[in-house]
Amino acid sequence: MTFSRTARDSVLVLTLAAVYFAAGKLALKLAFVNPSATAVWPPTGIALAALLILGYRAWPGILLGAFLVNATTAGSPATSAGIAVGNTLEGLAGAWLVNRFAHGRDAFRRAADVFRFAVLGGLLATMVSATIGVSILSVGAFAQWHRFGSIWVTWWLGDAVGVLVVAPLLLLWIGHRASSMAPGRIVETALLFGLLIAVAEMVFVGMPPPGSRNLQLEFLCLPLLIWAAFRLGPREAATALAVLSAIAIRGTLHGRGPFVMGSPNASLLLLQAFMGVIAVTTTAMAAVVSERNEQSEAAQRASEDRARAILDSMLEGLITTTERGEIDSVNLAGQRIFGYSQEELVGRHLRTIVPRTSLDPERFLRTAKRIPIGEVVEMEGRRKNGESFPLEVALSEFQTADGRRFAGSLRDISERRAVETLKAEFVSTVSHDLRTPLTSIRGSLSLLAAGTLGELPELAREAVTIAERNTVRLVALINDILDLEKLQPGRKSMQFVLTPIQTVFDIAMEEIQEVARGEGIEIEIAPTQARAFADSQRLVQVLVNLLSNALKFSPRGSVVNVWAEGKPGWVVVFVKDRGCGVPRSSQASIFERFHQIATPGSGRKPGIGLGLAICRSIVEQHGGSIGVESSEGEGSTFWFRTPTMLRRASSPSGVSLASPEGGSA
Amino acid sequence: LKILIVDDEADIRSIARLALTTVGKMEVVDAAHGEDARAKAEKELPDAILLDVKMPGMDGVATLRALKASPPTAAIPVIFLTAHTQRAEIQRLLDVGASGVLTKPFDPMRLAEQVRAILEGI
Repeated sequence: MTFSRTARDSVLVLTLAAVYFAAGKLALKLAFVNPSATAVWPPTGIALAALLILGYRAWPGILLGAFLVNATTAGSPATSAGIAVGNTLEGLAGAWLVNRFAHGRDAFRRAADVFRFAVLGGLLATMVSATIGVSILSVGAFAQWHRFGSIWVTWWLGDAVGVLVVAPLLLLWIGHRASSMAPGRIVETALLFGLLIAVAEMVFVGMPPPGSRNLQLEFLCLPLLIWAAFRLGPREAATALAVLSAIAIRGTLHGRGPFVMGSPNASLLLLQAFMGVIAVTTTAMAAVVSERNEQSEAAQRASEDRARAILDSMLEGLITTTERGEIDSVNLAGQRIFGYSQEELVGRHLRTIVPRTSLDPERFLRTAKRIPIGEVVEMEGRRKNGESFPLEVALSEFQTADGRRFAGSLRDISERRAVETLKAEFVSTVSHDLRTPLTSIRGSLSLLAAGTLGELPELAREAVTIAERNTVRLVALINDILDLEKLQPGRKSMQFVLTPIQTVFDIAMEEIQEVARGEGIEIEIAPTQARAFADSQRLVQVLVNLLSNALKFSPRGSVVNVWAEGKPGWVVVFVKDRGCGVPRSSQASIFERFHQIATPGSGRKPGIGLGLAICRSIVEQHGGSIGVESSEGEGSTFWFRTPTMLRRASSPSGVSLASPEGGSA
Repeated sequence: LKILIVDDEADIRSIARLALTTVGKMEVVDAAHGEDARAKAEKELPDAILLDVKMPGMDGVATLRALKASPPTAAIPVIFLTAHTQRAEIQRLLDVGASGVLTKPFDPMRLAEQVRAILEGI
């Protein structure tokens, strides 16, 4: 381990030394004021980047590289060693300052760090090398003391611009994972660099030779650098700077471009000053923009994370789709319900999980449009394993930046369905099994009570009559329980069609006529043209029930009135009797199951206690309501209202104490 | 009129027999299961058969099919007696070829009258 680490470090050091050496040799070709001092010195940028990326342990590479460059250029081994030490100290000082004050290798992510990097790493630390280097050259008589100033400036500026142009390029490209670019961005990047190269060539190379007047067109490069900083990011901006710098140096060396002065060195110094300033400006600008983008991305990510956390904590499944029915997102519960992962579902069509929509995706979306938010429809879902199951879906529509979206809140109701089926089967079996013995009991009692099997003594007949009457009640009760069970919400036992209320009146009348005659009560029905969206057989059941109640509580010889009134969107049916009335305190509870009105002294057949509950259930499944208006001793008017068009079932609490004109309570 | 009553419950057979003979003045034979019903029907050639639906072994519907498939008994009207009162169930029984459906518990005072009404309606 230790060996391999040492070996790896050695390779790194040697590589760094080689790179440093090559860059240095190239740069020293531009040394005009002194063989060892040049206005273009990228090795400083390489050294700083290496120390920031690899750590301080990379220093021997710099020392070695710098020594070799100088030793093979001019001066003695001693001066070369001294200059190499200066170069190394410069790098270490720069790296320390940048690490300490400008977030080290991440210096180009924030504008403030970019400025600190420029001042500390670019301008300050480079003074170390310039001072040490020029002093050694002067002491060693490789430079004249009176030229100390101009050599120092050349050295320092070369190093500083090396840091400002080369270090960002290396720091931003090395060690950061390249993100894949969208095709549009690739085109934009290519366009930008094409334009930049063309403009730079024109400004710095294509200009007329010395002697003729130079056009000061360097500002033409600025919009392109700003473009790179704003639209493409710090890395591309740094690359653009390096490209521009290379072309500008080449042009200036050939005596072309706006920075050509009396001597090549003066020209290069001016160019480097220009490059230094625009390098800092551009990288800072890119940092500001990327900082801003990162912040807004982070804020968006945080808000997305929050939204996802909420969605994933939901017990219900939530699926969003595009207008064309492609799945956009699925929360955890949705993934659980269908057995797919988010990745498997996103992008696929809704029919993968709700096959019925495969007939016509448009239809599903139209349905979605028609159903107001919060309303629930039933659909058939399909799990990954192919199993079909019932779903409750509440659909809604919303607008996003990417267009219209639909959201479905889903609940797997297969378990509930299974329990309902079990319950229905249980009730059905029990009631069937109860009916068989009841048939024998009722048959025996009826035959006995009627005297068919021989006359019974008076008291015996009375007792048998009571037994028979109660057996009949028991049978009716079993029928009602079955009925009520069948009417539980969610059962699709009703068929809604536009029904003339007169038909309901006629059929109900047929069923109840005989009983009314037996009780000596007249039922008066007012003809009506009203029509309702209803299951006619069920409405007949309600009306017959209300009528038999009316007959039960009406005095012999009285009249029961039945009429219908049309209201906007509704038909209200009234049944008015002249009986004892319903006490105010019971007016709501009579619609509850197993509630009976105490009828002291009336001696009439008591109700079973389910009739009105069944009526209520039927009316509510029509989307209507039921109620009663009554004063004790003055008779009652029962009413129910049913819609003239299709409505969803009303809430199970919908017994109305309000008048039929008003809304339900 | 001669009526064949088919029901696996002896008490039901007894009550139906009592109701039809005393109130309806009809002649009654009975059978306890489907096989028995086919034999009795062929032998007695009743005017109608009152047939229970839920019976062990051959149930009411299977018995009806067997009766209709056999030429001597094919024309005898069959009236089901069922403890199921749901509309759908009643419709199903009419659809398989019953002449009528009566529900349990029946009113013994009206049973004969109901049977006659169904036979008259055919």
